[in-house]
Amino acid sequence: MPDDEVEILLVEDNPADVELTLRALTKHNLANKVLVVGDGAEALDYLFATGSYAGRAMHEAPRVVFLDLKLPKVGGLEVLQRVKSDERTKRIPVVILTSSNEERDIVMSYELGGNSYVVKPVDFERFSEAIQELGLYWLVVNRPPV
Amino acid sequence: MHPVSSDAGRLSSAQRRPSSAAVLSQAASGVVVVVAGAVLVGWALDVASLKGVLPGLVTMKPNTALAFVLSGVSVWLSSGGGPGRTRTAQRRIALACAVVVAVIGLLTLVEYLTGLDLGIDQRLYAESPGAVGTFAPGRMAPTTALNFLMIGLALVLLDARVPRELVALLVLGTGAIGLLSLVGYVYGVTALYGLASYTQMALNTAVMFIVLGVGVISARPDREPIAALFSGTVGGAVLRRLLPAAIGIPLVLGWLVLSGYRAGLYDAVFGLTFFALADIVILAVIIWWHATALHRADAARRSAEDAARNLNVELERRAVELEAANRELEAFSYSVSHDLWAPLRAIQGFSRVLVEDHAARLDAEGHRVLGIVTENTRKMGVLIDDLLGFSRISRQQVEPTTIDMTRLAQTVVAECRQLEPDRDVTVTIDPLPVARGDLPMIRQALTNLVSNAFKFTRPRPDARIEIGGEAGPTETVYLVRDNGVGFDPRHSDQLFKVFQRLHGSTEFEGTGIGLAIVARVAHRHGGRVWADGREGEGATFAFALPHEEGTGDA
Repeated sequence: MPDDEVEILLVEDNPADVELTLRALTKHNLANKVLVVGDGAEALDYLFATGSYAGRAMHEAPRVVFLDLKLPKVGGLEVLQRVKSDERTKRIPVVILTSSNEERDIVMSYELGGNSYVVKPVDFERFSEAIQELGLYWLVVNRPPV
Repeated sequence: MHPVSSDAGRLSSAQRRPSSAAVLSQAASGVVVVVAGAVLVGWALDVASLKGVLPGLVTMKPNTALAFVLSGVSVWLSSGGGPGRTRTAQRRIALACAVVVAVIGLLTLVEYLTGLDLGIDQRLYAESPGAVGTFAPGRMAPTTALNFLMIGLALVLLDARVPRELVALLVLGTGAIGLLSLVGYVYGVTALYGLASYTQMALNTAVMFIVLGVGVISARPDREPIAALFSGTVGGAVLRRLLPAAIGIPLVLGWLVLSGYRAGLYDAVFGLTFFALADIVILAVIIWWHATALHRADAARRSAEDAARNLNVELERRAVELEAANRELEAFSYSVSHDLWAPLRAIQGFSRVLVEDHAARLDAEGHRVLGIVTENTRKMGVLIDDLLGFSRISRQQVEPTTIDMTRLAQTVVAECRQLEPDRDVTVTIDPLPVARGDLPMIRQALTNLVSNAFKFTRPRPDARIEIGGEAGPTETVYLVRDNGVGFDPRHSDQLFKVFQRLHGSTEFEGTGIGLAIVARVAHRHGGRVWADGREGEGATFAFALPHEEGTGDA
């Protein structure tokens, strides 16, 4: 996948959620700029241009990262912490997209510098709407630093 | 405050009940009053046998008898219980009597010391000059006078803020002089009950002082150093068992030995030796016997303590186990709820995909079946959501703050109105007392109650909801009352259980977790919940939060 086209980095291990998320994004023609990674380690590799993504131009960061919290290998909160504590990546907006409605997860995410916290609605209609709104907001409405 | 009546309730049964001391005190004072009263009657009617015990012995003087009656009344009133007001009056009379007793003793002593006749000796009844063992007619012995001064003072100071040993010392002094005189009579040693040529203490007077001393001591059985005598401790048992033996046995033995010596059965050396040996043997046997009994009691107590300690250890172990089980259960319900969510979303999502992308290939029955799948998935989602909420309430730490309940109620009502903007519900919110509790939890509880009230008044065109509260002495109660469909009060205990519903889900939506959460919130604050209602006539739900920070359950 060409690096420079990635606008959304979707970090999600559940294939069903991936498919439903992509489906929701497709409706607004946002899905062709999504890179999906299945665990936290791969997400970090991509963001820091290491491992299998070594050689990627780091300055071309995604417009937004959708990050699940419950992930194999490296958990979502650790990914968030690594991204937000590094000068090179801390300006990348990270949206936590998770099933967890736990207060401590929410508080922790904001403490670590997460830009938004969205609980995946259980209802597909609402889930779909939420994904579309998120995509539109972060890719169209929101203005990132240059 | 009267120690006897007020303490009786909280003493364990293992301790000797102080009320038996009160009974002893009243009995002793009663005996003193009756005997001394009889002496006064003897003086009034001039019956010699009532004045003194035996002819040829010194009589109990009128003033002595009077002082005994007053002392007896004072002790009786001091040890008797009664309602607060009468007790104050009783205490006053008791004090007055005690003061008179002390003054009688003091004035008589003054007479002896100065040689003056203050004219008090013959004031009640006259005694003819030259009476047996009498220095001045009608005047009591100097030892008797000293005793009345001491016992009078003891009774005056009974409840005063003086060192407790002082009262005990005064009473023991009185008893000791009484005992000394009694011994003098028993052993036939005049010097012990009469000083030089002064008036002697009468035999009945000596006995009465001992009885009176017992009465005063047992009037305040909870005071050191008397307390040990009436306590259920080993020390108390030793005192009660050995003290009478230590006093009584040498006394009786001495009298026996002395009688034998006087009868010429043996000489003084033999008598004294026999006395010493007999005293040693009898006391040693008695001490041994009691010590064995105490040893057994102590051993039993120790084994009971061991059993209690083991039970404690066992309880602690169980508590730790329960806590661990509780934690596991909570972790379980948390992760179950979470992991159930993702597949549920997939079921629902892909059912949707089926409808959107492959509708053409589904017939009407296919759509209907798919609709059932979707609807049940939705219900499952709500159930999981509620279960998560309940589990969260159980796990979260209670962080108490002061909550403006009136404002909170207004917010909650506004939220509920927003969910059903087309309805016309009359809500009255009384000024509510502030609450001390965990804001998110209390808010959740109030929201559940108010939204229930909104829900179950739906069939009513004139729906009314009242939110009230009242601060009581130990807890603050908040209640939500509605005129909705109500419930059968026979089932009110079912209401607060998880997933228990009294209405079909087709009538009123919901999973049955709302009230369980209210109950959990109240319990975690150390409070309680209850409900009151009638089928078709509305319901009242209430929760109470304790004033002091409740420990709550884990």
